[in-house]
Amino acid sequence: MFGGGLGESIKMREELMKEACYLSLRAHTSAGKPYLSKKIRGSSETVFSFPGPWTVDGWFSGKPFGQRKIELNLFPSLRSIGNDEKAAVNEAFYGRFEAILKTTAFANEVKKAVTEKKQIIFTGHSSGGPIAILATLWREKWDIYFIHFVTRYDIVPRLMLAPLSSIERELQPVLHFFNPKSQFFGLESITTAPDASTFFMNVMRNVSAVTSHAACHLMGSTNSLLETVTSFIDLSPYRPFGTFVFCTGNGKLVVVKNPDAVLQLLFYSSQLTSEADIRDVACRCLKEHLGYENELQESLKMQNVAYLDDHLNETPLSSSGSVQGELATINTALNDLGLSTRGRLCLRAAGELQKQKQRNQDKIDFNKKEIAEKLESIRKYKTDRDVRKVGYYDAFKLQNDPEDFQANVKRLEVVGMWDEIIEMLKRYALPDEFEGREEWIKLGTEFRRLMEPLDIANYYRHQKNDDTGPYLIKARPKRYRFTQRWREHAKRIAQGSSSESCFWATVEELRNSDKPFEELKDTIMDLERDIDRWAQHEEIGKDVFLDESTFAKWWKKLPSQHKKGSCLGKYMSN
Amino acid sequence: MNQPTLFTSGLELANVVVSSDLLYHSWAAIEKVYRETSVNDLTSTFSIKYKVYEQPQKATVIAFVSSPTCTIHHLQGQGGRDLVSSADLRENFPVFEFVSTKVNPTFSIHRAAVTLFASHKDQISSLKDQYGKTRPLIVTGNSIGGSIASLFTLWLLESVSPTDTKRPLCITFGSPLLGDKGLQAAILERPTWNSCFLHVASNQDPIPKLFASPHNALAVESTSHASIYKPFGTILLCSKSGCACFEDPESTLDLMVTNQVPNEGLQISHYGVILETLKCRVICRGISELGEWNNVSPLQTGIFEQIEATKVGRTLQQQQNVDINSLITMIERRTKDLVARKRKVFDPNKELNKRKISMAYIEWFMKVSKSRGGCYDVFKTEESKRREEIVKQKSILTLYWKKMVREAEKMPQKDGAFFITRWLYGGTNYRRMVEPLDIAEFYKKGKKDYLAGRSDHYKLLEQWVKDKKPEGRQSNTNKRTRACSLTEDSCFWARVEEAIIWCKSLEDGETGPEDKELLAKNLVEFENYAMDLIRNYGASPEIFLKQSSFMKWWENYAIIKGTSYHSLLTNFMTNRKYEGYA
Repeated sequence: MFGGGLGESIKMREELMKEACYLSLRAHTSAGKPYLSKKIRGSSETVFSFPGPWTVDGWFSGKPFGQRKIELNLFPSLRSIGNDEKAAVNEAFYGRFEAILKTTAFANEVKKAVTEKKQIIFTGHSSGGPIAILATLWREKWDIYFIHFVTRYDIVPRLMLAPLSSIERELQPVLHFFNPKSQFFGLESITTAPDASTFFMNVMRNVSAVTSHAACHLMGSTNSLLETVTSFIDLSPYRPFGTFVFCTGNGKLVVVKNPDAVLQLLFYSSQLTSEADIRDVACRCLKEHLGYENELQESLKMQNVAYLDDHLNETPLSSSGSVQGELATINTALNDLGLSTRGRLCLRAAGELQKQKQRNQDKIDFNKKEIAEKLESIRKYKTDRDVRKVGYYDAFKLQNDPEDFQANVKRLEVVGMWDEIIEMLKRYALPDEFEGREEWIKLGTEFRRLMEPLDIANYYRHQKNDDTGPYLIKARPKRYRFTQRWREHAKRIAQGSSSESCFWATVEELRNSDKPFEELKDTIMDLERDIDRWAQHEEIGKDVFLDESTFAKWWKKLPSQHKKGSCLGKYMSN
Repeated sequence: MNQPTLFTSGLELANVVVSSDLLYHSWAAIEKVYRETSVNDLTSTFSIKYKVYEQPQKATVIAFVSSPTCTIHHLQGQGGRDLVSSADLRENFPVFEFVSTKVNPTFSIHRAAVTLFASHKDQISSLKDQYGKTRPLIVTGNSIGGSIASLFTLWLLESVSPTDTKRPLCITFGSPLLGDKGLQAAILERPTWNSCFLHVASNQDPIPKLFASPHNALAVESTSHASIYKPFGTILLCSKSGCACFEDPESTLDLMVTNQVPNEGLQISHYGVILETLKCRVICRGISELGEWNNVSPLQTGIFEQIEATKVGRTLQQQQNVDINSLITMIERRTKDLVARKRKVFDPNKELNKRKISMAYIEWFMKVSKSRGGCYDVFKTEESKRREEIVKQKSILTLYWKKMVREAEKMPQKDGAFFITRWLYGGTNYRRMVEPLDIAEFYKKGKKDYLAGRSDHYKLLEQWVKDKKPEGRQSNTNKRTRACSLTEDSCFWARVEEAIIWCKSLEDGETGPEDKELLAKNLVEFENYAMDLIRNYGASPEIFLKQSSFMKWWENYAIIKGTSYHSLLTNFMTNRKYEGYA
């Protein structure tokens, strides 16, 4: 990508960038409109732009950092897949977006643009930006890039890393300064007031705490003091994502996608050279927020762009380092951003972590063949049992033949390999895309459908439910919870709908229950409907319905009135 | 080759600490105590003062200060650096007994600090009762007041569970070292304890380095080894130009000693001034010229930056006594050692899966042995390929569990108990499955009295189950209603073997009548023991398999006793009630 034009490498027309920038600023001044939409003449693009709120409570709601958990019905994908942690977003901006969605023609207009096959761009400047981001997330178009332009000192991209309490007094005047409709808009005296310095200082101290905290993890800190201290302080939950384009202020651009590196850059690029600079920088941190249009014009004209991502782990550690080729370009860019050796060390650590995650993934990919082979031998075991008319679930539970024992050993081997993967996911030690990789979702589903019945058989064979409780509530291993979520996420189906691999546990619990049929009826009907569906899609095997299977034996004991009407009658022999 | 690149995060950690308000709140509390003390008091010899500051939405701060006179009085002159041993403490002031562990049974503490602590014991004790459970809680102190803060925190930690994430935090300013290698080791052994101490030391303050070496030596290599005092927790070294933490405590000591800009007439407000400077420092780039340290590893660069931040580097170059290169190399080596040591920490989860496979093998062996007299006797008599496999799996398991027990034992009682609870279920299964096989091997060799030489790890695993019971089985309602698959008493077969031996002796003509009486008594005891086990469903149905040693013993015993003998067991056995036992 060396030296390529910005538009080409981040796949966006530069004319469009300028247009988007213009419209994002226009949105602030167009009276009372919650958003603007514009079809770009002579092209297939529609741009939606959003104005920002200019009051403190338009930025921060109640809590120190004003965040809230996402509503999954609006944003079904905004969670980590396996760990199932919901994302958090800024509550005030979220509320604003929700209002636009519910009270305006926005949703319809977007729909119309989609049916007209328009390419859609959401854009926003300042606090309009988060609304544009939420709009893009809402559309669930992950392949559309998020592109964030950030100037070296602009305080706004850093602002949410500080709690409201640290800037409460200074924030409203700053928002007036940013608000084109305010009488204080762009007022020079605000930027030079002592309050501006205090404001900058307080935001930056908090940014420093968050970024250093993150850096400790990037660097693999082993000092446990960090953990104790963390429990005493409130660190901002906000993190960057998407492509960041840093404008150095002298016409050059620096492009970074690695979110760990972006976070570090947000701090280190606006550090002071010395304490004496504070007034000057505090002034710039406000002014630059209003200077994007010019900055962008300049930079696009110059086309001096450095791309950091491929070289993070080679980041030159000293500004004066003698490096050649691409690294020299990067070195110059980092100098333009004013990055100290410490900042550079942090970028290196971010790069190394990314590389380590990649290495972990390579190692796991390497195991794929072995996993597949072991699964194959279990599949053979299953087919052999089917031939003998005892399903593999029941054969495994009985453990009468050497083959059953061999299958048990194989089970433990495969399961061990998967647990290793899950362990890594829990530590977030694999690349973020891992849980969305098709080949692994496929293998994970095969693994789950084939192996989980054996795990359940093992559980009930040892009567572990007596001491521990039902399998599904107390004992279902993460390796199955995770792989199920992978599939459900990839297929965009409801959580819990792909639980075909663990219906045996429900059967066992029903079988062991001493409750009367009437009380269990609803559960049984649900189970029957699910089994019917899974059987039709061949997501569960025919072995389930073999005469001697635990399931068939249990089902046949149900009241005949019920059996007559059951959707499973067709699978059962009489 | 695939080793991840090493970094050192000492500067980043220091930055987190300084960027947060924790140091400022703590110091503000200390200043308040000083301010509330009249000038007269300050110059007189009050020893320790403390105050509790509760603020809404912030941590409660307990601050300990000492008067400057008191500090001088306690630290200087003859005996100022004396230590008091844990043995002495046990007799005279038994408050810190709990610090001892099996691996680190003895330790020593700075005598003056303990004396001061002891002389305020009553007040401190009620402070503990009142605020010991308050969270978030910061305990802070200046100079020797910091030593009191450390001792107080240590005392609080006794009742903090290792899984508790809400721990108190102790922040000391300019406090002297508190104890020896033993204390350091005992605290390091509990990572959660070590995480609760942060010691701020300014390069101008002579107190923190007072005990760091016997002399104010500059030669780096020799200093640290000569000192009896060792640090624990994390030390934040700071100067007006910056601050840093070092991962390795030895290096911190070296740097503290080497970095000599002592200012004897230090004002009480010194740390306040430094903190104010640092507040602004964190957002400044600072001057760092890598110079010849360009193009080296990130770890070396990081160490260089850390040294720079605490100004040691420049001091060193001025004195031209110490080579900064060798200093960096030494710290680098120690950091690498430290990381290697931390990576090697025993992780029971790692081998868990291998262990499960071994258990599956033995379980299968039990299953297939059923038709031939049960796994105990098959293992004792049979020679087969399968048996060899089981011997192999058994040794894997034994190795694993011996290590496990050793680790659990090494831990301080409380952490150990926690460790044990998590693994006890597996340990019990292991003991009940594998110990019978050990017993079989033992008696196969014709030896006697297995129990006398029983392996410690089995004894402990059994003991821990017993210790846990009163808590774990509050409702004693879940009595067994069917036979367990593994005999509860893992030494059952050893007792059977002994009973067989007794029977033999009993039949032996050379045994004297007195001995015979004793043997008969022993056998009745065994009978009762076996019957108890059976009645509580604590024996596996396996023991009644034809060919089993137990059945062989019974046949023999029944003949010895004759048909006129009646007992619960004879009733159970002769009426073949065991056929319905399951």
